[in-house]
Amino acid sequence: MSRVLEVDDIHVNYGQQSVLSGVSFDVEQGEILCLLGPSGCGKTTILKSIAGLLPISSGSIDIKQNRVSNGAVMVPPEKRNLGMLFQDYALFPHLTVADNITYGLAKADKATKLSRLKELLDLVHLAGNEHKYPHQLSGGQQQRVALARALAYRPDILLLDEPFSNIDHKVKYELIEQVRDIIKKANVAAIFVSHSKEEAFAFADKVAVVNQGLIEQVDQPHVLYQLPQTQFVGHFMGKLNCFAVAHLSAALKAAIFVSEQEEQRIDFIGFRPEHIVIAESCANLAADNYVTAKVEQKRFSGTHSLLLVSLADWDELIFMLAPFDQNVAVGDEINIRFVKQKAIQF
Amino acid sequence: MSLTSSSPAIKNGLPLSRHLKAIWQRMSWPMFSAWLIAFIFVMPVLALVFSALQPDEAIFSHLFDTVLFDYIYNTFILVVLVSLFSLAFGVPSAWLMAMCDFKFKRFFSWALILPLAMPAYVVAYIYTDLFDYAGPIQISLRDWFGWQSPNDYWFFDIRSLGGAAVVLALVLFPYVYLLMRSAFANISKEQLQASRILGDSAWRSFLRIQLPQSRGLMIAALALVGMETLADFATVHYFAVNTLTTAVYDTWLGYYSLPAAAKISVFMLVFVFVLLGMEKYQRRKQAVYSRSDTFSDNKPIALTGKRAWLAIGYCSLLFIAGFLLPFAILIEYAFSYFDEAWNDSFITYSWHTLLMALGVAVICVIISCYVNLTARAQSHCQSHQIPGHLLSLGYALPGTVLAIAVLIPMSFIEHQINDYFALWFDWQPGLFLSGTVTVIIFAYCVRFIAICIGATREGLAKISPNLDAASLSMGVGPKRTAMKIHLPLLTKVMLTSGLLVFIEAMKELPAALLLRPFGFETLATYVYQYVSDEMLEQASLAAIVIVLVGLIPLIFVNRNMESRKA
Repeated sequence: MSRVLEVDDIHVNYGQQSVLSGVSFDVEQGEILCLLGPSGCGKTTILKSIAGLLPISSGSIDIKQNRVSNGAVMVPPEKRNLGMLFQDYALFPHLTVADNITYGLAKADKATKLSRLKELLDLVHLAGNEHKYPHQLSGGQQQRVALARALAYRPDILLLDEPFSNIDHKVKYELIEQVRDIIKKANVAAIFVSHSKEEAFAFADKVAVVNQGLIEQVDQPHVLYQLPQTQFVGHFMGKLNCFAVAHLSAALKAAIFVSEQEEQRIDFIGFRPEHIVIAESCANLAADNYVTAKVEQKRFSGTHSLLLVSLADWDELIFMLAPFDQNVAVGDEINIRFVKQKAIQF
Repeated sequence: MSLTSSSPAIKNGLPLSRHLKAIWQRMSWPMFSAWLIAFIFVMPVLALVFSALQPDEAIFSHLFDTVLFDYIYNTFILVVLVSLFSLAFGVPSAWLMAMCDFKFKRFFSWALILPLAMPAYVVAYIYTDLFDYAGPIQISLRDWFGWQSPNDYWFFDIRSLGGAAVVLALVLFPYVYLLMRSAFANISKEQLQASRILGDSAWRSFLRIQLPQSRGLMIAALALVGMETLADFATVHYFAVNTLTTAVYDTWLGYYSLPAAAKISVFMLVFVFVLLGMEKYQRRKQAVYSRSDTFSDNKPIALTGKRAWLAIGYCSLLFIAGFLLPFAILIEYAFSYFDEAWNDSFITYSWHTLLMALGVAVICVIISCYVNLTARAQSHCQSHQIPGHLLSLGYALPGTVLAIAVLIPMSFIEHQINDYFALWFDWQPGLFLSGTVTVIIFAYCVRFIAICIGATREGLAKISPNLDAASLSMGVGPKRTAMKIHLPLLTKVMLTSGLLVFIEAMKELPAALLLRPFGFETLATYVYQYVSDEMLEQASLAAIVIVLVGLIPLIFVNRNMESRKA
């Protein structure tokens, strides 16, 4: 696999305010990377810097070993061979589907244009719609036209700016699957900006979690979920019960298996809700392997029930999962067990 | 960028020349040409201010001590009244067109634009004829009620400040109507539904959702109306209401004092710049990109019964008063006085006026697109909007003032060139600028380009920056993006604004009265001469032509707008 994009230690400032403070990552051919983070974290700024719509203050961006941005130079967007997919699709309302798709092929001859158009219409399953105007298409079709348009001239990288945030939940994942399929078939590197981890998990090969102008961690989605390196990533990826080791009581320390060496080494220990379970029969367990908890809230979520339980010597409520048919009610006292192997340490 | 980056450096004591050099180095060729065009258009204003600083043999101080404050007061009241009337006429009709459906709506949607084609002084003349003491209305009233003299009853005097305001508003309200109609139509229905669900009545949701969002365009429309009013010469002159415009005219033609006229003009400009500043401030606050613009599909509210009749009645009243009645009377004049009105000079003047107005409209549209598209392409540069703003200043110059302002630099250039030719060749080109149509065309471009500049800027602001980014990312450079994306999407705006300029140029009177070369008449000057001689009947055909040529493109553009909507 060849490296298509290298972003090295880029900084971006708006006036006095620093928006990006040292962001680095790279993307390989055919790989889909998601820039994931809350709004205002700087993920769109990263995308615009790569697109050449925004100058960077320092650092460098290379596309296929060509330097396109550093503190002094900014190659204009039209010279970067990028594809962009926008949240509002940005289809040209006065052009037909065919003209939109072939827009970036201005230099090609007519025959090439036609054959490429046909290929793309097949790829995005829109054959027969080439003479329609954007407003005559459904939202999903418009997005596929935008995708075909962005892929038509074989860009080195495809940039997608929150492409699914306007899409109805029911069809979203079907669409994500379609778009992912198209991008994989086109074998193009893609960078995708999103604030939704579900979208990121469904769409990306690799996820970079962005927070306050920095990348906290880049990894495959399941690694980010299971082995987050920072508390921010841990919380952003899903519900996390996090314990500050220094504040744990002796009983809790024993129950969540914090050994003395670990106590020296780590500050926090976390468990996902599914890794805290009801201890069915306490007979087989040593007394310090479980703790007693009181059920404060119960939320049914289909496959499971989410329980919020309180512990005698811990201030915060603990999230845990119980099988949906588990016979517990609010107010019950239950024994809970922590799955030590799944503990997340910071 | 150049401006902000230069300000901290100035504090650090860097020499000014280095800043200018830095700005110069960052200046691209398109930006430079935009600045150059702006400079040419601003030149008359600069010349005017320069001239106002010259001594004036005490004429100005005499005016200042005697009548100037009455003139200022009259001008102020006139602008306020015309604005109020225009709002009262334009806003409800725009709302009805954008939001409702009723019988004859399609007819009214274009019929209400027609008053724009009516010259205010013709309307003034006709209504004076109707409503004067010797007019048919008062005669009938006297017959019916047996009144003998004006002391027996009260009847409003149309030859008054209030009368002038109503007459001006009747022909200027379509500005408010056109801009507010598109403003209302662009607000998505969802927002209104949201406000209704949150508990607003229809009226409150109008006040809280539609009005605030269209405030920018409303102020823009009022600024247009206000400046048109300040510029009006013929109506107030005919009604013998003294305003600053008539003061400039009289000072120039009565005392031949250019500095005194320039001084009064500068007074007037203060007025205008306050209006203009308000408008700019409002627009800057509203940089909203409407995404649903091209795809929106707002279902109108169907009006029936009494409400439908009220809507129809309101629109009919505006249409009849602003267009149909005066036009019908003009036609009646033309039938009765056809032999006097039909002559060669009438035909020649018609053709000249048409060509000239078309030329002005085309020049204005081209320059506006060029300057605004350059500004968009250079939007990283903080001063990118300045040439556009400078170009718009010309609208501030009322016709009389403009004429004087344009003459100053033009005759200066002519003098220089004539001196040069006299020195090196045994021949002089003469008054090749101020003695020809060039001077009128240039003056009209200076005056009316603001319409196109403002409209194209608004139109461009509505095009999502994502379209630019999409085009650029596909390897299409800024120039071709402008040709392939911006210009096609601006067609509607170019047609509309070009049309407005065309009509304005055709109807413009005061500047033409002062600038027309010897033997050249525009239809407007020709008609006005007959109006002031109380013989409009004899020029009724010319007046009808002014109205008709204004009508043809109105209908054409309206059709174009309708078909694009469908």
